[in-house]
Amino acid sequence: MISLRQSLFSDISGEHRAVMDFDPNQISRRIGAGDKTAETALVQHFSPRLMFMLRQRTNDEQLAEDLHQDTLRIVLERLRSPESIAEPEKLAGFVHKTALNVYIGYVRREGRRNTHAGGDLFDELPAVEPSQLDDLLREEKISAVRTVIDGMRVERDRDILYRFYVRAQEKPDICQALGISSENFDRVISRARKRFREAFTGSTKGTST
Amino acid sequence: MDRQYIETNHIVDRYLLGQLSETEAAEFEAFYFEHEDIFEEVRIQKAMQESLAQEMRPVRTKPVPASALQNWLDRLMPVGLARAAAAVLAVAVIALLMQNIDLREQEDVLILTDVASVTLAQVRGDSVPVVVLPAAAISGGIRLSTNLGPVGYSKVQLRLSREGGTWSWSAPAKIDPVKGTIDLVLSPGTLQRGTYRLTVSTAANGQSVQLAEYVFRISD
Repeated sequence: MISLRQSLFSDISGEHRAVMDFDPNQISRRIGAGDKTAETALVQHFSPRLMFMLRQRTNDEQLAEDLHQDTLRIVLERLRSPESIAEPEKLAGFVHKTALNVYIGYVRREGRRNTHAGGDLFDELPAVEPSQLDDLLREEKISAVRTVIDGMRVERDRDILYRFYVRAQEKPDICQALGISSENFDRVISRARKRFREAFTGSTKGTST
Repeated sequence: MDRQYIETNHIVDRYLLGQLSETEAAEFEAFYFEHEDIFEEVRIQKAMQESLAQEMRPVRTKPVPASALQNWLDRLMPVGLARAAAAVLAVAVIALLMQNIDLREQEDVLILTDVASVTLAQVRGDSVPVVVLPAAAISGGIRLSTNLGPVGYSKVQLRLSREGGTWSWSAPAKIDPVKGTIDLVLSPGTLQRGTYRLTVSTAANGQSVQLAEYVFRISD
């Protein structure tokens, strides 16, 4: 049986393999020639990035999904057309720019709508109802993050993490408040990242239960 | 933007925390669209940030949504009428109460006398200072003042919850972006005995980011 951590890590590793095979020039040319498998490859390659970016910007899973679909539709239509794109090697940049334009278009439409309706940004923030799988994955991540916190013997280091990640305070403010150097801050954050990465993904390498 | 710049300037963390400018965020996104290892780093960091935020909060509660104003009106009127009135009045009254309006200007909306005024201190790190207020002292209502200092935001979201998850309330509010002051006026009977947590959040890049947290207790 493969653990949740393993399956998540496998997903990341699997994507690595996909990237190695992904040649933007070739994909663009094949899509232009009507090759459906190339379209599938493009979708598989860019979907995770698009969804991540759009989730980050919208904080709304369903909206991100909708904007992601719109982006892919526009990208594919363009690649299928005789004009295609001028520089196929810059396909990633084209996909990103398209997603950004789709998102900006949405924000502008919503902005106009909200102005008329007297709405507020916070009214748009969704109430997220986590699934059981989300809960389990969260437990895996919490376990890893406990390793990070427990590994910090200096209280001030925990305070740095708390201020940076929980309070979202800026680095200069934290350094000033705690009287620490920029290098010290960097060391604490870097060590925390390394420990989390090891705890979260380390046990997935080469073993399955 | 290159790897050195991303590392040196904590771009991954700052992107996830919504601290980058729109231009920087777009530039960084374009970079991780092209570089798989950076995209993987972003995903790992996202997992870490979410977990740290959840694990390091001083107290985690599971509040049951309820409206303080609704409860207050329920006590004064028959249920049906109270609900209808609340639907009409809640938005207007709460919005006015939440927008740093001087008490004198509220008299035509809701007359409050003998309002106790308390300035709350932020909870920092692991220390949790608790302001204790005798219930008798707030029988005429309470005005909670906070001072975050310059925040650079004009809109925030306030959330007030009672420890143990038995009651919570939230609403948007305006904040002076320079002084960072917010005055929250609560009507008589809104707060019962117990420990309360007030959080101030804002939205950056579509994400809710907590700015400050305050704890106080209503005692016998």
